[in-house]
Amino acid sequence: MPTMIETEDRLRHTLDAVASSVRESDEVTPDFTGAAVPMATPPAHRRKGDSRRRSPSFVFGAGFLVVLLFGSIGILISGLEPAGESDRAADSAVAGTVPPPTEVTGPSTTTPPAEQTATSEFWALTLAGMVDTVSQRDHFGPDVPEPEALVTESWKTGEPFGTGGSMMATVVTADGQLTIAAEYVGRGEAIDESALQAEVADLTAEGTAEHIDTIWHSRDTETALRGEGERAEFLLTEHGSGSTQVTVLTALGRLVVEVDATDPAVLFDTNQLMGIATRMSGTSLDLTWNPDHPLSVEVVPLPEPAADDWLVLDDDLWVAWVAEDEDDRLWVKSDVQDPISAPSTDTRSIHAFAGSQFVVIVVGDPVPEVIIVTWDDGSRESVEPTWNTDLDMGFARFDIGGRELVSVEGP
Amino acid sequence: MTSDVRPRHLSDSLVEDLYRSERVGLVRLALLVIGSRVAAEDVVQESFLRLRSSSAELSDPARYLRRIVLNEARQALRRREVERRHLPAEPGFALQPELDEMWQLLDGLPEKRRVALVLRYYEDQSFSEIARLMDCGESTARSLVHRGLKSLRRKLDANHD
Repeated sequence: MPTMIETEDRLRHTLDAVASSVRESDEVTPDFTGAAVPMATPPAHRRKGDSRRRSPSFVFGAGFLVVLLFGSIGILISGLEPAGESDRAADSAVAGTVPPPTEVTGPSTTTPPAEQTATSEFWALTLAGMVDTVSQRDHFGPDVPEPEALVTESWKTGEPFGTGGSMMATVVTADGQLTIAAEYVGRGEAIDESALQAEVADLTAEGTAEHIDTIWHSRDTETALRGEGERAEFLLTEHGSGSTQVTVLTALGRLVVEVDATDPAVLFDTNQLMGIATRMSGTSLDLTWNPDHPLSVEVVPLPEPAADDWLVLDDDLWVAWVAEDEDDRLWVKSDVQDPISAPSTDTRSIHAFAGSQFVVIVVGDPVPEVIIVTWDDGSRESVEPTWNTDLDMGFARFDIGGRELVSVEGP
Repeated sequence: MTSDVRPRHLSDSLVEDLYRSERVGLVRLALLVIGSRVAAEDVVQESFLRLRSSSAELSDPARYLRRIVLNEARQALRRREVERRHLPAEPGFALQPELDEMWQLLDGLPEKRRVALVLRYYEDQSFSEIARLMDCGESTARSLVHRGLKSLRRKLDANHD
């Protein structure tokens, strides 16, 4: 493995080499008319035939948001365009014959024209990103799709809860056909469930769907699980008549829960499922969850970082190690009674149970001054985390004392 | 965007002087953050337009401009992530294999780490300045650089196994 100094040197050389591709001779005359300034020498890597004049990114971004919002609503109202159309939209965008952005007037619920505006190009691309699963519909055919093909990814935009994103509802019909309605919601906006319901009703009336088993509303589940600070991705793997299988990515690995949901209107209690996910962070699982609904649980461990990648967080007060694996997941280990390891992806905190202790590992940005936990007996405790400034990580410990954790605030 | 309502001290001549003196350096910075020459030039052009129409009292327009460029570049990088999933990759730079490998690895880093590394190892910025530019704590800036470098190191090692 290269040393840190060698890595730094290579990085510096690389950055300098790439930066030097912009030469002083590329300097051009100031032009503040609003359009991008043509370069003195066209870049060699610009695509052949790509004669677009790039619009200012603010127009691009604002247009994107507006068109994305209205475009998605348009889709909701009129039904999704066939998957092939999404693909064609992306393809034609690649072709890159683009008229001025002033031609963008709103959403399109039909096949995007061959000539697109820069904004609609991006809209098409983004929608294509939002509706990946729909593009697989052509492959499903009349047979019941494989569970993997039914995975619904919500929040495709990657934005955290509360700042907008995409929601997808999955509808599995009696003959196995799959229809997905997508809606984009902006910051602070609520998902219009009634519109989704109407959409499903329309599909039924059109004969597109012979029977609607259920609609899965991803947002509440996301809320509950994200509220625990876990990177618990909720993947709907199968919705059939009479059973539901849900996969949760939790601290220790993938938790596959199979739930008997004979009443499609009542899928599962997300709070109870969240309880399982939380317990997964510890050393044992509570398998007695909701005896009225038979379930089976399978835990698939995630690969841990290599042994020499672990970093000691604090060896004076209490021993914990922190490491990152190849996917940039953070892991924490402790040697308190039962060793634990818990990965967390892109979160600011990791919750981990170790023996009689509950540990909150916090990552900075912003740095919390205090971590507050609420227990099921109503009591609340606050602890100022101990920080390792080099790693920008800290931890706070709480004695469990036979209590159930209700919430963690602060990180 | 092309409004003329702006403080007198941001005269056309001052903006044009900044354009002549800073543009190339800013395009380089944006290029390293975004990874696309075309997008970098758009970002810099947009930043100059924003500076020109700014109504803020600016004691250090060049510094303010650099921050605009960095913010715009970060936004562009996030948008590019979506584009990448659906468009063929833009042809890269003609780099030596060793440098190209590092460039590809840098391209795969999360946005914040990439920006922090560019500011630290291309611009030689202090951690406090990185923190100011990225609007985060100094310890966070230090952590981003540390983790980014560590991630590059590990991936370099994995490539050569």
